[in-house]
Amino acid sequence: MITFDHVSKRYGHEALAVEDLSLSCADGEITVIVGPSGCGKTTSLRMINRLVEPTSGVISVDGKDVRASDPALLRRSIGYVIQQGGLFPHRTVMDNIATVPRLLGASRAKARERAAALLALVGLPEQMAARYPHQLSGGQQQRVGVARALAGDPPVLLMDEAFSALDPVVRADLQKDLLQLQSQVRKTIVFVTHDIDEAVKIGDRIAVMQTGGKLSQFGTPEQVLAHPANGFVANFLGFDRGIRWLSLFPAKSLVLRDPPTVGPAGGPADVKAASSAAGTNWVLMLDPKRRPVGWVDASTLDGDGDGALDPAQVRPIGHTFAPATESLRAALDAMVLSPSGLAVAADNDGSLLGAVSEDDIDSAIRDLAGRS
Amino acid sequence: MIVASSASIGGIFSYLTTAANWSGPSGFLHRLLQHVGYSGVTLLIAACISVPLGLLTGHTRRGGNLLTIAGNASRALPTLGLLTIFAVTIGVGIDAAIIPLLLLAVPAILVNTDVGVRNVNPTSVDAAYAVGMTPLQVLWHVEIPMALPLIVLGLRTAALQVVSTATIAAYVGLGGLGRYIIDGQGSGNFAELGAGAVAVASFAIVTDLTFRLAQTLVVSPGLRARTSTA
Amino acid sequence: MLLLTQTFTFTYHKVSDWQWVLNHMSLFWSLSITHLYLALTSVAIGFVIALPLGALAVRAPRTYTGVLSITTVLYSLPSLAVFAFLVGVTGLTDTTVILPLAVYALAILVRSVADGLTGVPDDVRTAATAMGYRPLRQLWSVELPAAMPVIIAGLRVATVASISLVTVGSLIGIGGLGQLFIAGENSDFITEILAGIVIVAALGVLCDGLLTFGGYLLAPWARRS
Repeated sequence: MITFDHVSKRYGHEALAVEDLSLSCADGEITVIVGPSGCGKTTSLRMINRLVEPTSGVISVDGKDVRASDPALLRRSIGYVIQQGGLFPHRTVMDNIATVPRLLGASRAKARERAAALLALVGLPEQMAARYPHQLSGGQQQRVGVARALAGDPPVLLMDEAFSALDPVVRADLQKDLLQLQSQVRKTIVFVTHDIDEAVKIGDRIAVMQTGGKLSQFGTPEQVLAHPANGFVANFLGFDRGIRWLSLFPAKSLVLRDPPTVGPAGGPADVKAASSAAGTNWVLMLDPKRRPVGWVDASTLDGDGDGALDPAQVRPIGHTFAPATESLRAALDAMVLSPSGLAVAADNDGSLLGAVSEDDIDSAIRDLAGRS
Repeated sequence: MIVASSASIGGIFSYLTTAANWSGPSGFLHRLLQHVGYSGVTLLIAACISVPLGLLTGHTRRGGNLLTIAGNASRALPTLGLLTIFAVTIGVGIDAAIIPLLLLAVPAILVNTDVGVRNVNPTSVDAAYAVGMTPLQVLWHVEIPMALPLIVLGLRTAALQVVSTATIAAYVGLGGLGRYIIDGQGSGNFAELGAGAVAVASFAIVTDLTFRLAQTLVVSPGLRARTSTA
Repeated sequence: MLLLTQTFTFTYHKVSDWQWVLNHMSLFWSLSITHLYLALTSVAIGFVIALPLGALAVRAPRTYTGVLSITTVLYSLPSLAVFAFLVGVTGLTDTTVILPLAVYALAILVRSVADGLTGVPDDVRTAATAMGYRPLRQLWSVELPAAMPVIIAGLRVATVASISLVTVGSLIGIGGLGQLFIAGENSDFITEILAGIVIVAALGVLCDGLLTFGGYLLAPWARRS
């Protein structure tokens, strides 16, 4: 557990960079410190491993004041990942990762063994070990940075805007991998970012700081999104915080219904039949593998034309959502884009599981809102 | 003019290839060894003084202004002037030459070492402290290896400077390849003059190439992508 | 330490030599003029060639390494050796000194011009082209002025080095302030040598200062606090 006890930092005679911060980061959890630039989040992080010394207040790791240990020794037990990786350009990837074990006294062979294991842990191929940082992409460098931070098996991991310099696709990948890693290693992670989406996605708890170094709110993502403590937090979360809040709830709580369907060979007559049987206008067209292809509005079809359906009459479904892994937000989004107003649920290989209506989603939301 | 040149070059060539000119105390071999000796020892002493000093000022980021002044001074002070003034006060020979030799070699190494260490990527240095290296470890494992390209460049520049100064120092009694030029000038023997010039120039090029080779061997391949050949 | 005190004692005792200094002011003047002529002409020639060469090198990076290799090889040659060799070709004329010194200046300045131009931010270049500047005009009106601080820095180094190197020419008979060193050594006359050193250094400092000042005037945006 990492504790900030009335910690402040003032540079020279200027304003406070961090003002009276009191915070607890629980063991085995990811605590995200989020806020705009100049809010003191990076400064606060760097006070944990004494790259910055507080002007007043005490920071403790597992009950021990960080100032009680030699700074270099302290840092060898805390992993640190920076935005641009901070990899040593003159050392190979392998030697970069082996840095802390070597500092802790491991033999070169043992350290390299450990480095190889970590390389695999962060999802990089073993050929990468002999390369130099400048030969790696940004995403790969960040993975090496994480591996290096974990090499000494520290109980604490500090991450300073670690994914901020990466493009959205690579970033999403790394966030996912971090969560997966965390489920295996259960470190105490303190993560700093300016991106509220990132904070909501990976944080077990979020600390929102405002310009001037003050802590505005500390709580779970659900708490913060649903009940922002003040105007600043509400503003920072953005006008669509409600939608964001939905992303925290799994879609599997929704009860699926069976929509009227028609096979790939179906013609206008089949569509009309399915439509009247269900009592609704919209019919879902499936392919031979029971994967949704599009929606057809029975009321726009001419009488009893035999033969195949005119492709122009099949409207695209937008996208499907996966109830097992996705959130209510995904279901809501699928519903918005669906011409029929029904969100289609599909499983991993795309085959139809069911559908939910606007009302279904709405009652699920009301349920949650009532409970929170 | 062209006729004169080819005659001179012919003369130089025959001077260089006459076996007699290679042996004995005024032979090429002896003087080459002298030149190597003086240059080598000076460079070594200069490096022993300047490299640690440069590492100190670069790592602590102090004394930058003093170094700039030292660098400018070494460029502005004329070599021949320094050599002759010491020759007149102390007397001709190696003692007179050693101080100007050092005076001109030290700034090159000092400034380059300082700038090299000072300008190491701050993110890498920050990361080094963050993983738990002590300041000395940071210097040894990160700052020095990353500053090596510039440090070697400083040594190379100084080496060429020393070779050049040692050549001129023949005028104040130092042996070495410069003697051919001074003596040739004095006696009007153009073949000797030219041969000396060619010998010195060749030696300088070999020195330059040696240091460039050292640079590729010593500097980490990880750094090669960014450093430009100087 | 010992020789430092020796030097100081010698110079102190030669107080009467101040009279000698005052008597020879016109000699110093004429030597300085010759000296400056040789040094500054070399730098000027080197600069005039370095500008297009450097600009070309930036446009075609492959030629840059080629050009740089040649100039650095020439730069590594000891000045005395080059002067001595050239005496046979061009005799005891100004060319013997100016040619190698121009090459030395060129070696330094091509680097400065190229570095200065590459240092111009890409956005600036793109904006200029987008506004409708043609390449040559863009180089002259936009890129070179932006590269000015780096180029001036190179000019300062080249000029000071040049002024210092001209003295070496005296060993093979060329005029300039180096004569004072030769004469002083021959007659064991420290004051003469000292005068030479002081004047050469002073000329170097003067030119360095003038160039720095010129830099301030030409590139006011680059003034540092």
